[in-house]
Amino acid sequence: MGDNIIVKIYRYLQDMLVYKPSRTPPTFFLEELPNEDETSPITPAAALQGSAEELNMLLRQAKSLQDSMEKLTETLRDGKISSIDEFRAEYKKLSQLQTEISPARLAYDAVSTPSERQVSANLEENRSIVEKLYRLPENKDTVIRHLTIPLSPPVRAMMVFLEGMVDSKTLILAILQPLMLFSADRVVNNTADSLTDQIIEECLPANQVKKAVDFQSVQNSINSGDTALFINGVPEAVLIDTKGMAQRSVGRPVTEQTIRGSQAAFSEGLRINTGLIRSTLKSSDLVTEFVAVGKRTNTNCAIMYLASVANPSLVKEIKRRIEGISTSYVGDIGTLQQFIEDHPGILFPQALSTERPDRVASHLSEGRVAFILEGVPFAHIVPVSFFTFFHSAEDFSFKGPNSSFLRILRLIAGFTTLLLPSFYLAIYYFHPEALPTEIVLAIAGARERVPFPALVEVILMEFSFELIREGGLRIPGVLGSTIGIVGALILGQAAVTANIVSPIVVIIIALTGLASFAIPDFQMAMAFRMLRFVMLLLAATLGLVGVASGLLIMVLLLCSMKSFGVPYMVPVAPKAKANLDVVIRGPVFRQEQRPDALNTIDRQRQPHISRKWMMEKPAGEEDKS
Amino acid sequence: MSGCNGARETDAVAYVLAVGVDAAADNQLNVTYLIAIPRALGSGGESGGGEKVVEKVTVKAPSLVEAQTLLNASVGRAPNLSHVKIWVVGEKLARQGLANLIGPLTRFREFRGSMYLVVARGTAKEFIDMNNPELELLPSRWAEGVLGISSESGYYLSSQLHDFYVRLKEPGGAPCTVLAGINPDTGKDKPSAAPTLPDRAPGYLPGDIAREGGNPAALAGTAIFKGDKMIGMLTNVETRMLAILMGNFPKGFLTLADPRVPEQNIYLLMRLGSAPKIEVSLIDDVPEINIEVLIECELSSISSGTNYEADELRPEIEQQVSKAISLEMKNMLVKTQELEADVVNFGKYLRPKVKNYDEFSAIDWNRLYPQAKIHIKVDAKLRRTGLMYKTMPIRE
Repeated sequence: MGDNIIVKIYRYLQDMLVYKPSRTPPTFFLEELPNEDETSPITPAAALQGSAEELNMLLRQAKSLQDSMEKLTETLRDGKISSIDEFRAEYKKLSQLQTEISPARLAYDAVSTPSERQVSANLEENRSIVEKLYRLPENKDTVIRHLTIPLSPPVRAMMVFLEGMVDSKTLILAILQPLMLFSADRVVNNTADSLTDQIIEECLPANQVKKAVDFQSVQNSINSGDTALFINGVPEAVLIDTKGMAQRSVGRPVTEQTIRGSQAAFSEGLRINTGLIRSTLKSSDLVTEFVAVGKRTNTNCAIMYLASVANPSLVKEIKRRIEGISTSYVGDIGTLQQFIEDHPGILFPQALSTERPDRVASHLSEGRVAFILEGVPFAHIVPVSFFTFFHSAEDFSFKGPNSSFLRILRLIAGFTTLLLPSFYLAIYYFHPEALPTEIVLAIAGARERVPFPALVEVILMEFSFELIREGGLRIPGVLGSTIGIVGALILGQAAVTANIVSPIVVIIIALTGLASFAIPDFQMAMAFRMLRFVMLLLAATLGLVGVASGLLIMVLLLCSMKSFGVPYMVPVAPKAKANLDVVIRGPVFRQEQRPDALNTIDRQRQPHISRKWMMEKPAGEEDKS
Repeated sequence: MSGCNGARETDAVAYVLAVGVDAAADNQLNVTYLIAIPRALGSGGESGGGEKVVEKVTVKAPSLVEAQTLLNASVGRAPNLSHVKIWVVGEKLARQGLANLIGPLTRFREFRGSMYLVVARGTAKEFIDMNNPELELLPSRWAEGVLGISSESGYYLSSQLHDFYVRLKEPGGAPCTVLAGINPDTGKDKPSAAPTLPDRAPGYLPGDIAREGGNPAALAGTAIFKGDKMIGMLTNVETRMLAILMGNFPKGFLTLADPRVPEQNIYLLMRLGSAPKIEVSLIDDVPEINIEVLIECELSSISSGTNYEADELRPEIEQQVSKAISLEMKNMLVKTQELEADVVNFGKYLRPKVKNYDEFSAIDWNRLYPQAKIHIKVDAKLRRTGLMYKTMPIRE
């Protein structure tokens, strides 16, 4: 029987008014873990853990001993002894196991963490360590594959790799197939001193194979996409290169687009990147060294330099600094840069960040050093000077005067970004006599309806501009270009119409913003953008005196800085032999010396007469006229 | 105020474009301020509709500073004098003396040496009131323009505050300023001096030129000072001679009587060929001044059709020019000698002849100048004949 309308309304009101317990799920909150620093009292359980582990290890040893003995007994009983060699192999394995159960080693192994352990001869022991290392069986990425190598007698083995990091085709064709099918024909002498050496030499057609005895390096290799092969009875692991993770191919530069010059950009693969540089700078002098960064991750960092040019102490210093970092994880080269640079507190960039292999190559040939971090499509070049950030990759593709013009333009743009709003404010507030009467009156007239002080007006516009820039950056691609137009045009126009800002401020902010995009290096542009606000406040409070003091402090700061042992303002302050490649870019055939400040091994880039053909007779008839 | 507290928003400042100072009763001053109205000037081009762009305020006060303070009471914004283009001084005040006016001007921060100083016939207030330029939106722009192109004719010399001040404090020479006036726009001719033949141009003082329409305010001629007191005026033609002697005469047109057909005219564009060579010597306290002037001419019109371009006739023109210039120059110099004011500043040419400044100051040049013997030699050269090289007679 249906409810009548009165009842319905009653229910509805009751639903609304009467308290009901909330239907939300019980709230979750993150528990605080006991702080690591506080030494927890040794509990009986913790004290016994070592002993328990020790017993476990003994148990696994006993089990494998038992297996061997049983197998041996069986063989003996069946009378299937083919040669004395099999006994010898078995004996060798057992004696190997014997060495591991010495009380001292047992006690040490029992209390050390899995990654500190040595590779054991016992396969079961290794498996147990791997399981602990990779948190098996929860961790589904780590795959343990057991196999038997058909030698006489057959040897059990185990492969460990990370799914997704390896190329399964390589795995099958270069490891499993030769080991399981063809090894019997190859490895004839099972009793030889080193079984692993024999297997590496005879049955593994993979391109990079190495041996390891400790789990630290085993772990690092597996993490970077290698496969570890453990063989029963051998206290060594074979690490086989099977890297095959998904990687982006070489694309076009996104942040450093040029009209001329190479159009390749770095990608995330470290080896792809070093390969790109090497293919641009084909020299046997080009050295690539690897340093691991991050205690937990061991991310590879490649340091590249031209051994016959770069100053050896510079290379040593960079290696020293990178090796001296003690941190858990470095994910980006920008982070790494902050760890190693001289003045992390100063806004100006102290390394040139580039995504172009050709740019790296040209700097390497000048005697600088580049470093690339695995998984980051950028290379950093050190040492650099202030002026390097106003150069672009294609400067040397154009004729000298064109490049010089562009470089001067970029420097002017830099100072426009830094100073235009502050000059406006300083002159507006303190020195109106410095402008022609008509302009003063035009500014005054435009501001007549604006109720805010000029400082507020400028900051308001600066703020909106930075918002547009930051918003435009985060907005999905398709909308990105629209937001620029909408933001800049509509906002500016509307702000003027609404008498919130005066048109002249819109012009000034637009010019400033435009100029900041003309600085080729993003980090340098960022530094100028930030300093602009400091200048703005100085100008509003102290006028031109404030701007001048700000500039002076900035110059002092720049002159006091060093980028990896080279003064930041070189070759201007201190004065060094410049190569017509600072602001004015001279002709290419006049660039005879490498930069003076880099103190390279070989200073001469090209002889005084680099165009030898000018001294020679032309190929055809000489024009006598 | 300057420094940190000196920051001013534009809407807290009244920009004064011109200041007029007149003598008032009881040793007081009538100060007229011409203040720009920024509202009418902003937002580009909207102000074309005849909206008022300037405001005029006259304040009576014992001093300039006091006047500015009094002005503040009514304007509501702090008057800012850093954009004053032109200082107009009434004739009466100029004759009483400007020392008390110029002193504070040069010391105060908002004043600039590049402001123009003008003496108005009549009162400064009248000049500022009547000044209503048609081409320019702002009177300040008019002042900049009209004084900036003074070199186009030589009929008035631009005079900046700084120049006036320097001349005022120098031991030799007399200061001078531009003379301003109001033209009644009636078209009536009131020349102050008859033409000195063969030059056809009569001498005018500002406001006397026959003209109808246009801006009533006009500049012409020179106000001559002795010390800080104005003592006389030079007409536009005399001022041109002054310009030549001061070496500041880039070009100007000359209308001469035709040497062969006296009732006809020839027109010339003349300019100073080189800086005038002036030699001053002192013999028994009687100065002797030798002037050599090179004038270069370009023919712009010969109404009689006589072929003066020809080699044999050219000297006739050159002589005619030289005669006109030397006569006018002599008249002008005699006038300044009578006024006992060395406007050209011949005194400075005596400086190389003395050892030090004290000796120079001891000469008392201004006393000697009226007795000076002046020899003028004008060399005229016909350099160009315009776009025609030969005049053909009209065939009947």
